[in-house]
Amino acid sequence: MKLIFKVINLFSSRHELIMELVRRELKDRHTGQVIGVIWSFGHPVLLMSLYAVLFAYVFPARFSLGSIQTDFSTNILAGVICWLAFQDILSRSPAILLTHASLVKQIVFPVEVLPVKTAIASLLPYAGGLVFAIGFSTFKGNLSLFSLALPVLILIQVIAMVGIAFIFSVFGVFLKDIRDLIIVFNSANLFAQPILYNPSATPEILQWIFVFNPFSYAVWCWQDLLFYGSIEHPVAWVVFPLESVLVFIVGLNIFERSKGTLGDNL
Amino acid sequence: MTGHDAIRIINLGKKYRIFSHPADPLLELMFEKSRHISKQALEDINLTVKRGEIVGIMGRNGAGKSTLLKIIAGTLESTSGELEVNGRISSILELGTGFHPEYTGRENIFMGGFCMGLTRAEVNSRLHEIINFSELNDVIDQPFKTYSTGMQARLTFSTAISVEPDILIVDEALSVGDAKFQKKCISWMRNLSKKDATILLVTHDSNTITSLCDRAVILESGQIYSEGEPKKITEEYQNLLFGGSENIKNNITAGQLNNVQSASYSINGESADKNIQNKQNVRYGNNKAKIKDWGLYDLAGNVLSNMMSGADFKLEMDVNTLMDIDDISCGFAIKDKRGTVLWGMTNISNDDNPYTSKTGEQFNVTIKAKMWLAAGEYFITLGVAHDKDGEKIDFIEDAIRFSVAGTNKIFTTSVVNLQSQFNIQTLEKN
Repeated sequence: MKLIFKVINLFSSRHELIMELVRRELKDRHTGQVIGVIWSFGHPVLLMSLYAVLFAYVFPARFSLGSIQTDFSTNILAGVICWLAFQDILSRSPAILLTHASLVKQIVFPVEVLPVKTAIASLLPYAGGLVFAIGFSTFKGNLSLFSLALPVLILIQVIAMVGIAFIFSVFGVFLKDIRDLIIVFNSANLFAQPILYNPSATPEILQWIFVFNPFSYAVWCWQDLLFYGSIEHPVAWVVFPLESVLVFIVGLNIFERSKGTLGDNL
Repeated sequence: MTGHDAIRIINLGKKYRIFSHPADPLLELMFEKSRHISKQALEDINLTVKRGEIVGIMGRNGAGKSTLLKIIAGTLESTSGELEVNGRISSILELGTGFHPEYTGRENIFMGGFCMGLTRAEVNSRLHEIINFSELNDVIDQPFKTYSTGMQARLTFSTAISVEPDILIVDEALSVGDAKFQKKCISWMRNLSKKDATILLVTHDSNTITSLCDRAVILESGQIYSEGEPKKITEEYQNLLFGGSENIKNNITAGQLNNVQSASYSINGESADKNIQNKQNVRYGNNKAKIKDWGLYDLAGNVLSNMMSGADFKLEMDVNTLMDIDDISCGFAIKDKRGTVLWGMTNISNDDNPYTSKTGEQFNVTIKAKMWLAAGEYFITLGVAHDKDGEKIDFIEDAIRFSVAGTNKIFTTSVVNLQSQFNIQTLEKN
């Protein structure tokens, strides 16, 4: 508990540093490119549009919700945006400390801000994708008053992403192979979540996989928010916040414990 | 911790673990079988630094200086011992760290400030001061990567000191600045220490140590080799670098034959020549020959400790050769209280002719000269060394102390007696 207060205190006193680092990271990713930072935001939007077009028009996806035939492309988009953000932070985490080795080793620097800024920098570009998804959802008539819970869901997602960044940034230092493991995991995990499937026609074996995949619960929450417009997966709304807080606390503990030895291993 | 100690280090040690395979750390963790080689970077360091003190740290490459500073700064953890640090630390451990090469100097100042915990408003209020101190007004909006090494050092230093730290840690960063900037930094650090801030400084430059520090420490192979008054320590460090390659410390037989009187001095000049005390002189070398007897005499052979400026004198030493040496360089040097060599002469400087001596032989070295130094206290260092590689055979620092009088018509700060005559007269009107 003390640790949490310490961290909250750190983040509130260092928010200028964090925001400056986020700004730089987004800018640096695309230095030397013609439209530069626009890519950061454009990339998710383009990807989302691709999914939207594919599943709304190329493979028209329909399933029966009660007696009404519904287009579930919004459902796919909701899952995709959630997973893309997770995938982004997963693949970036192992490199966080390695790329900032000089900051860790050479100056008195609050190292904790590095995973936090990477998590924020991972999430921010999906703002564009989110706007697109909300637009699409409105267009398809899926949006409801329940969607006002969006900020809460974003907060839960941020906490989970920061936790992931804490854990894997440390792993990245001590076990450099984690980077490649994550790449494989990312490719596979897209299919192990209830994203691309017709919810009413999923084989039972997959349903079991979904239940055991921690990322599924996040996906279900986003789908409730953007597609169903009501709580269709009550379990997910309990599990996802719990998972998120758990990952954060575990991550923070791992990070704080290994902080002192980071300098030796970079 | 008492209120006066800024840093207190007790039995501090640092062991690096070196793994030969990337899987080893993991395997070690799993099977608890040691798979690493330990490298003791620091061992048993004890050091207390008071508030307002400036301590210089010297040592050869790899002696552990940077490791020690990093542990104090908090970027590395020690593996044993205790460390107590009291106050806000600002450190300059490497040039331009935290600075991004693609960003301009100005942007980097903000970044550096944020890293040290300043807010944007605080950085803004100091921005002008920082840029002025760095003297980079013309290039501050150009990318950091276009700066020369010296300019990078200036910006790094200027940014680091803008927080007015309680403890400032500087690791060799200054040495790349030009002389003028170095001077500015040194006087800034002096002012800072007057405000009760503590400064730890790593440098190879003896001058910086003697002119700035209150105390100096030599690190050698991860341990504190010696610690004390800057002038003595810098001399010892020179010896460590250029002396014999064997274990030199055993060869320092301090004041074996005579404890010379020597003036203690302080950097600030406050107690400069008042406080005369008995101090042991420093002796070192590889012992292939030993200086046996030495002295400062008048031409009649009487021992001198005071003399008039302009008087004739001679310097003599007898040396016992204990091993055949064919490249002896030997002679005397006169230093002032600050350790500046004012005069020196050897057979090499005289006619570039190394002297050869066989085991068991004894030889005498004599220099006759006129004392043209101005009034003051001086010290004579005796030395025998190899000409080829400069390795020292027997050196006695400040073996003789003497004073000169008789130049009361010139400035008391004069260093030399130019045998000057003063004349003033009214010119005739045409």
